[in-house]
Amino acid sequence: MKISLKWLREYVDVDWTAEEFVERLTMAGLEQESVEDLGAALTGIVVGKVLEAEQHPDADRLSVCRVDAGEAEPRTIVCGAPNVDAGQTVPVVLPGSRLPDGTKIGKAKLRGVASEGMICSEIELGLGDDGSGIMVLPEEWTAGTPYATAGGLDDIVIDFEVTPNRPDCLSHVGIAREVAALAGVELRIPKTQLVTEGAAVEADAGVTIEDPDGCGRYVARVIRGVQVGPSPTWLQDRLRAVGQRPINNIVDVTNFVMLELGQPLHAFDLKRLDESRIVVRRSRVGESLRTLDGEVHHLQDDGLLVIADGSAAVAVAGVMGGADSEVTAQTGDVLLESAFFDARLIRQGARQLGMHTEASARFERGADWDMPDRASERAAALIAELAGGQVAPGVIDVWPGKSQRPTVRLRPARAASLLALPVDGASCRAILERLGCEVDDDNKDSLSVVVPSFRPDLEREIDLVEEVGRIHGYQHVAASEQIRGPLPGIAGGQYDAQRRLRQALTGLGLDEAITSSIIADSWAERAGPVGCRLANPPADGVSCMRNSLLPGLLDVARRNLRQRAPGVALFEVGRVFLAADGEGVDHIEDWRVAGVLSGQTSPSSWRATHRPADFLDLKGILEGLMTGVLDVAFDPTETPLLRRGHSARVLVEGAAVGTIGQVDAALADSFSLTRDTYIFELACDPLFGAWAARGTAYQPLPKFPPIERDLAIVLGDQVPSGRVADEIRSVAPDLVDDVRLFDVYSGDQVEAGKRSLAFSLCLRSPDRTLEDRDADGVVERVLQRLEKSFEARLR
Amino acid sequence: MTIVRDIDQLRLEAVEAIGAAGDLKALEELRVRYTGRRSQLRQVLGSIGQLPADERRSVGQSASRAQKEIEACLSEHQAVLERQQEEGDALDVTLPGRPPQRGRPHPMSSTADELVDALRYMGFTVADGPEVEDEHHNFDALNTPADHPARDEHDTFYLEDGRLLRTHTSTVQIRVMETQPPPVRVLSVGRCYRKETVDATHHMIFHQIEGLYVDEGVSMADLKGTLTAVAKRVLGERTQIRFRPHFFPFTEPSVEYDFSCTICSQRGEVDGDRCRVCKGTGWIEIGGAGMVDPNVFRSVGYDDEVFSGFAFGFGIERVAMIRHGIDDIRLFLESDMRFTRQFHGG
Repeated sequence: MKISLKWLREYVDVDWTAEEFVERLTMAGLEQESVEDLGAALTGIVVGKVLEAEQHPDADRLSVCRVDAGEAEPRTIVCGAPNVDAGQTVPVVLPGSRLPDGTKIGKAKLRGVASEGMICSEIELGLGDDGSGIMVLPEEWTAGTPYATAGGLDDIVIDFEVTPNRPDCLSHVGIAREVAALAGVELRIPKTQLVTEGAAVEADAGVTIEDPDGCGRYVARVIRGVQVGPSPTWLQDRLRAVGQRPINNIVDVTNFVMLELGQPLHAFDLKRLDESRIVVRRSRVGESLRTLDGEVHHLQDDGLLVIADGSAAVAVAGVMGGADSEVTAQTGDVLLESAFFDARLIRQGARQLGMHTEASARFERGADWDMPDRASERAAALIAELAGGQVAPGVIDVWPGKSQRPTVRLRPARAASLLALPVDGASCRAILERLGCEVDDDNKDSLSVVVPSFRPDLEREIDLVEEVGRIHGYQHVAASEQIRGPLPGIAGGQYDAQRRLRQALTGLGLDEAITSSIIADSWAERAGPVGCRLANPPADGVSCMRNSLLPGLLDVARRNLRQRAPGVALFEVGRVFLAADGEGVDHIEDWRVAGVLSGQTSPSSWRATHRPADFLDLKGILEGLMTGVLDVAFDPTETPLLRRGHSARVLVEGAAVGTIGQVDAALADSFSLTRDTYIFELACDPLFGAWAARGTAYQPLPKFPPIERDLAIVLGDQVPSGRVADEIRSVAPDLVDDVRLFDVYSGDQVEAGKRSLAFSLCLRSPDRTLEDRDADGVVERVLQRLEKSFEARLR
Repeated sequence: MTIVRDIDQLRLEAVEAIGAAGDLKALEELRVRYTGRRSQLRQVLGSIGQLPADERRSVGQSASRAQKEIEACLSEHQAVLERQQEEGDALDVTLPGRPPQRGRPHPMSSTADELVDALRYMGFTVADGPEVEDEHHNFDALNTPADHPARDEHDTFYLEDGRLLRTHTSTVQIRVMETQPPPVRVLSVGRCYRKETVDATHHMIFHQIEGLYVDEGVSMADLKGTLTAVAKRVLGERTQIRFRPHFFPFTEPSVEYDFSCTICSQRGEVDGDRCRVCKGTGWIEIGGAGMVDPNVFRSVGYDDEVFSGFAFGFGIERVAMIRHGIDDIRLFLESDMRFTRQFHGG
């Protein structure tokens, strides 16, 4: 809502600067979007009188003018405009000043004649589109007056953002009321003296409301014999100041009154209304209507509220008038509409047609049912004054939804305790009265507050509490410094576990990534069944809620590698959206952790060997994450997206929680990644569950020393080393403390199809010192077992 | 007493030789020569028994004195030589080290952690809720019925079955209050979605932290105290906060809250230029807050005459942008390492 401070001061008398207006109203809930000094661009432009204008001696198209700019001596100005003439009042830029576009004007010689300034056109001053000649100003303007002052542009316009609960602030009087309440001064509402003559209004027009739910009140006045023409300057200035284009005196008055009082008005050309009748009803199938913006709407019986005449729809109620009944230069009699429409219906209508207008913005938020008659009176009087018509006596005021102003009780003690402000009955009363409420302190504990019709947002005690707090000022609320402990009984989410996981993974060298959870359909469909799809996606083909973190991570890897990162090591902890697996469940939201290694990811230190990432690097990260904390195992598996023979299921405490492996060639290609790209994705829930369930009891330190034995065996190269290690452990679980693989060899020294595995065994007994023969015995049994299970032999 | 004189001679010779030894190898040779098993001194000491009784004592004394002096001399010179050797072998300590690789947290996460920590000190517990929601939890229960104008400000992503992606984490408030009686003091942290045009300050995917506290006698002073503590934690001890009246359907009274600009110390300018962070106003707009609307309490079955409460929300990216001077919200979801590697967490 653009507010002209000059206009505002008609209704409220405060000596605030523009900065104070912004500050005080911001702190009362009206945030400013912009502040514009209308005259700022016109500094240095003054009103001049052309005393003489003569042909330039050496140029056909130039005139040499003597111009009185309010100084002791007239100035000589050379002017190229065809319309310049003696006796004109014109805008003059004095040398040393700038035009609004920044052009600096100096003294210049034009074909031998010195010019001390410049006479300007509309376009040069940024005041209009006319560049054909100089601007001719009203004769009564005095020479030497700054243009901004003479032209009414010595004004500051503040654009306020009005929240949806405050329809009353969409007018100058409404904002003035806030200012008056804040400053504690009186609000001056404009008074109307309406002079009527001729036949009563009913002689010329009739109003029927067929839909009282949609239209609670319709006020019509008729003004006969108007002269449609341009509005006077003061009215045009008012409208232009707040960014509205003047149209003609009738339309301008309706806009002016709307901006003044907040009541949208519409003027119909009475002669163009069939049967001179207004019918408020819903739209019908087959009707069409051309609105003022030239759009033709083909209507349906879908509940759109329209204004019709005796035969057809002539306007979209509360949104926009129709072109076929608009006021034109030929209009003689005007029917002035001032109505109260239902907020919900207008909102629906505006959305349906995609037309959001000044009128709809006001009705949508809830208009003032008490305003139509007063606004109509004000507009009728102004039209009569400015367009010379005669207002017909009487008013048609159809008011099926006659309302009462609601009474709301306010307990000042309640307000004081909620707001933590020292307010009492007297201060609450003073604030509410300043805002237009009628307050009765008929009860010692509570006030009886009659809420004004222009405040549909004040329905409950809490709404009044807010008004008291807002006007008293929240800056007076003292911050409580009370320290509180946590409350029992709230099941915490996964936040802590996730945070530990994130910290552990960054500690293990992975960078944290965050990726979009709305992903391309092609990616999601490749990753598995899609659980959730958007009906109104952000882009074509991007409509799936991610069912895996991997597409997003691979995309981040691709983009980073394209930015010439030598390699990436990334993880994300995030939600995936999966198809439901049971009755009564719409979908599953599952937390996952995923990681990717691609390219050169070895430590970036100097003189270190650089090599591409491999499977064991990534596996090592998961081992680093879990070993010693959780029992983790990797089981060869085949899974989509991963290269055969290079992927594994990850088992935590024996349960599968996800997969790890090398991306398959097709996947790598589709993300433009090299083959040395390795990924994992695990479900968080089982991981965190195992984490939470793990024992916290301490293990006593071993009392007896260990014995170490190394063992190299040769066996088929398809036997997984992990199975061999498990087998070794199972031979003497109470004595084998640790089994560690320290060498893998295949080559000339062993036969084809075989490989050598070398293990280091740490043997220890909990209750005695082992002797060499004990160890030899274990090794012997191990060898026998490995021979039996894997046809292994000692190397 | 020639023996004693010889011992003295030997001692002086050894001390001189040791002092002249240029390296540890030469010193080791001298050690063997003068104190080894076959050294002259050992021989002398070994043959004391064959000396006349009256000489034994003085020879023995001077031999062992010589032995001690030579040994002291050896170890002293060894220390000198070792020091010299170390100095000659100095490492170029300005060579780059070999750090173990360390990953970086994402600035959104570390900012969220910071905010959560600040609020935990005030007794808030983190609660969790789904991102795919129904109209009830996202709008209706939050006093935002279908025709409410506030819905226009939440351009919403819908699923094909009519459910939606939550537009704020306030949904979790409702879920918590539906499942347990007051008092409650919870946080919800997470992803939100709005169907907005993505630009430098808006994203269709962003993260919020929302706090809710309901108990008997909760007031706006408690709200201000809580937010002040967070402000000080995030932007520093001198940070102030202010409330501006605003409108949200689910709180009444509603406010927007600002933190005082610590970038320009509320002067509105930095080195003569308008402060980029607060745009010269001295205040940085942070988020929305207010007292829980009685209609919200009614929708979850709380008695609004007995209980009162406050709720507030932070845009996590917004706070991170202010803390780090980040000027484009799109950087958060791009996870460009040149961006994320600049942050150290905390």
